[in-house]
Order: sequence, then structure tokens, then C-alpha cells
Amino acid sequence: MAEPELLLDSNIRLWVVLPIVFITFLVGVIRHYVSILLQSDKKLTLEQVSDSQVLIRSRILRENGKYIPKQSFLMRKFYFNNQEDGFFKQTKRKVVPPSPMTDPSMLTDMMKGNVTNVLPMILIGGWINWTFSGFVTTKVPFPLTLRFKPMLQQGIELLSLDASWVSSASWYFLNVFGLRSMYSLILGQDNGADQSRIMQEQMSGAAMAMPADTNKAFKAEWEALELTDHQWALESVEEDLMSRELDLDGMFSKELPSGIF
Amino acid sequence: MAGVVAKREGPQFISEVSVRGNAAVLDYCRTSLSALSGATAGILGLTGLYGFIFYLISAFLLSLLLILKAGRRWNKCFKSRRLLFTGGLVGGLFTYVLFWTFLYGMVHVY
Repeated sequence: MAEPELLLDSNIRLWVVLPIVFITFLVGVIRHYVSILLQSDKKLTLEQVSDSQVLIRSRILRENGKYIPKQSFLMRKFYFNNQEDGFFKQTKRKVVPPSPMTDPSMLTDMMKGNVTNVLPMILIGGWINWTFSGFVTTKVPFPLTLRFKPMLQQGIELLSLDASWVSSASWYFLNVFGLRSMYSLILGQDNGADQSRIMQEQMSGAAMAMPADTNKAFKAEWEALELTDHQWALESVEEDLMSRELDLDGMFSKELPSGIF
Repeated sequence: MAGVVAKREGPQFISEVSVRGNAAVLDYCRTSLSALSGATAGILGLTGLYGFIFYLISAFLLSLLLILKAGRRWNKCFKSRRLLFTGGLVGGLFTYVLFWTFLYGMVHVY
């Protein structure tokens, strides 16, 4: 452990390092609560809810069809897929697919997402850079190459200073990245302060606009249901049960009153 | 950790809520460990490569402890054991570096 070659004023520690930590953390918490306040109410119609439930029911039928008798399965499949009056064939919904440009609520959602996440980080980073400039803030414990110097030592004009001594702006960004996972400790899951999750959601958000087009979803579900075949998994269930040792201890309680007589 | 899977012959029934809850618990453990080990590394004054090796060792120890805790019936709660090893490593690394730098600065620079 080599002795650090610079000795910094304790005031820096008290008035720069700690405030930056607090500022970063509190801004994150504020951002979480602001995002909760600004959440626009998603209006769902009854028809949308019932449509999504129908799709779920059809999917469950496909996945678990093998546990009901063949007759029951065919009956349900017939209800959905019949040529003349099956549910998926008959219902055509009037659908206007909302694109990000035309649908106002989606546009404001995107704007709110961008504003509450990226903008404060840039603003506060700039402010911190302006306020706490011109001195060395702390030393990172690992050696860095000289290429990082202009990035990490923004206000300091020393050519021979080791690249490990960083300025306050880089300490701020280190805080932003490091506290990201701490937010899920403190604010619980699904918190609005975690930027990385939101950016991931924005990238996969294009896939989530699909449910608006229910006609396509119905058609896809119809095809999938057509393809599924009934293979009864319970075919030899009587022999299996009888061939095993039946362990009935504790299955019936003696105190259970009979409700019939 | 909530048991999520009823093991039968055939497809398994998986409760989404429980999977997310278990992942949250893992995340919690890993973040706490990263914070504490970062603080330890800062106080001890580890620099450079030693610091990163310390993080890898502590992450590995956490994985071992999690596997011990999950026990024989781990497939009741997790789809694969790899998740116990590698879940949240990079996020934990950032937290580790933050706490490491912070305490190193507190203790050794000032």
C-alpha cells in the first residue's frame, strides 16, 4: 500500500464528496416520486380487457389441453376455431393502431420518460462541474491510463498529475452508476429512479405496442390453436396410480365431520 | 425464497410472480454484498488489481453460499444454477467500485 502522494484538505471531503453523494441519491429518490406523480392513467376499455382475457384463455387451452379429456378439448377448440361461428373467426374489432406520432398519450409518455431521466443527470452534472471545479476531489483506487485524463480531470490543468486523481464531475458520474442498484434496495422493485431499466424498456418498447392490433393477435392465436393436437397425458393414469404404493397416512383427518348426514 | 415449480412429468407450471420475487432477492443479496465488500476494500486500502480480485472472490463466495442455501431442491426455485453465479455481476461491480472509491478516499486520502 503506497502512501498517496497528495494530501487533500479535509474541507474538500466534508463539503464536496459527501454533498455530491447526497445530491445524487436524493435526486434519484425525487425522480422516483416524480415519475409516480406524472404517470398517466392508462384507460382500458372493457372490450380490451375481455379480448386479452380471451387470448389468455386460448393460450392456456393450448398449453394444458392434454389434461382434459379429448371431448372437452375438442369442444373448446370448436368454440374458438369453428369455420362459421368460431370466436376467432367471427369477431373483427375496429382497430386503429396507435403509432408514436399520432397517438398523443404515447408521445407524452415518451417525452416524460426522456425528461425525467436524462435531463436531470445532464443538468446536475453540468452544475456540479461548474460549482466544484478547479480542484482534485478524490483518488480512484485503481490505476488509469493517461487517455482518461481529459475526461476525468476536467478543471485541473496539471500535466504530470496521475490520472487516478479525479475531479468532482467524474465522482458524480461514478455515483450515478453505482447508486443505480442501490435504489432497488431502498425503493423496492419497479422504482422510477433506475435509468438502465427504463432504457432497456424503451428499446424493447416497440414490441409492446402489439396488443393494440387485436385482429392480428386473434389470427395468430387461431393458427396456433389449429395446429395443436390433443395428446392425452392422463391415458394410463389408473394403472400408474394402482401400481404405486398408496400412502394415505395423514390424508384424511379423523375429526372431519361428515356434512351429508 | 418462494417455491415456484411443481415438478411433474411434463411441462412445469411456473409462477411469474415468484420468479420475479426470487430474482429480486438475489439482486438484494448481491447489491448488499457489493456495497459491503467495496467498503471493506476501501478501508483496507486495496488498490488496482487486488481490488478487482477481491470483488471476484467475494462474488464467488456469495454464489457458493447461495447454492448452499438453495440446497438439493434448487430446481424448485430457480431455472438454472448459472443464474446464481452470474446474476447482477456488472451492477454489483459498479456499486463495488463506488463504495471502494468512497472509503478509500475517506480513509487514505484525507
